[in-house]
Amino acid sequence: MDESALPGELERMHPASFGWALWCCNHRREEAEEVLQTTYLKILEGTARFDGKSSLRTWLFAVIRRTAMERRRRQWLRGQIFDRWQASQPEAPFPPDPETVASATESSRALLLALASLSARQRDLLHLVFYHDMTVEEASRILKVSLGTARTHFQRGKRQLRKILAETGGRK
Amino acid sequence: MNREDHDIRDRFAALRQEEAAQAPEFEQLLRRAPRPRPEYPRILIAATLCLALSFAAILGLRPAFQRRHSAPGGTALSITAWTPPTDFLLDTPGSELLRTVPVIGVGLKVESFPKPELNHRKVARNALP
Repeated sequence: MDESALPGELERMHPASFGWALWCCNHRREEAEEVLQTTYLKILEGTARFDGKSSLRTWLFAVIRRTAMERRRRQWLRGQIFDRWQASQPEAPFPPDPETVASATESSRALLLALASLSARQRDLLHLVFYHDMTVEEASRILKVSLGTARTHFQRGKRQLRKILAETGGRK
Repeated sequence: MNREDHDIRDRFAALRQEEAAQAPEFEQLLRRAPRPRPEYPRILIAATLCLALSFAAILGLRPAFQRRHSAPGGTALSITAWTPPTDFLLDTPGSELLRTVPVIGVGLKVESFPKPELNHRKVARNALP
């Protein structure tokens, strides 16, 4: 792919990338913006290179996810070393930001709360497939799991989500 | 895709629209200066300083320690100059006789030699069986 076309492609996919970054950062907006900015800089400065083995979107999403994970790991390490003697906050459950839930519409709020009771892998798969209209195969590549595992988690997650939504009666 | 899948998809689509509306401008995000990294806590600075000071102290004290434990003049003692502490045991009484050449006409003075000391312990007669 022509490198000069990269900024344009990134800009085109920016809203979706932001949605994915937001997702990877448990809906913490500031964190998501920082992760996204770091990702863009990595790509534009050549630290992360697109090798063409997958689609640009799949690769970009994988880079965003990895950047978010690196950030989380760094924070965890810092917490382990320095916050030992301080009252450290445990990892916030999904979704952590009450503002996000409060500002969402009723339908989105019900969805976010229902997703909170699924496993992280199931959540990620459902998000990639339904939010970003990806195939399970593409999602499995981003999450670095086998296709079989991804299919199983996707089916289980979907079943569980349906059940919760039916129980809570979240209307659109 | 069944009706329930459509329901889930619609919910996700609604969420996507809400979040896309909140997304910052691409250019603005790119131009924004990277957020400064959080300052390292004081404990890290203190630990680094301690480590540096200990290292410097070790480096500074090492030459002095070596000087103190080396031979005078800064050179190591030659092995040929060394004598064992039990060397005097080899100097037996009368060994001078073996080292001197006798001269005709001059007699050896017996007095010049030290009388051997009789260190036999006196044993009490009544102690014997």
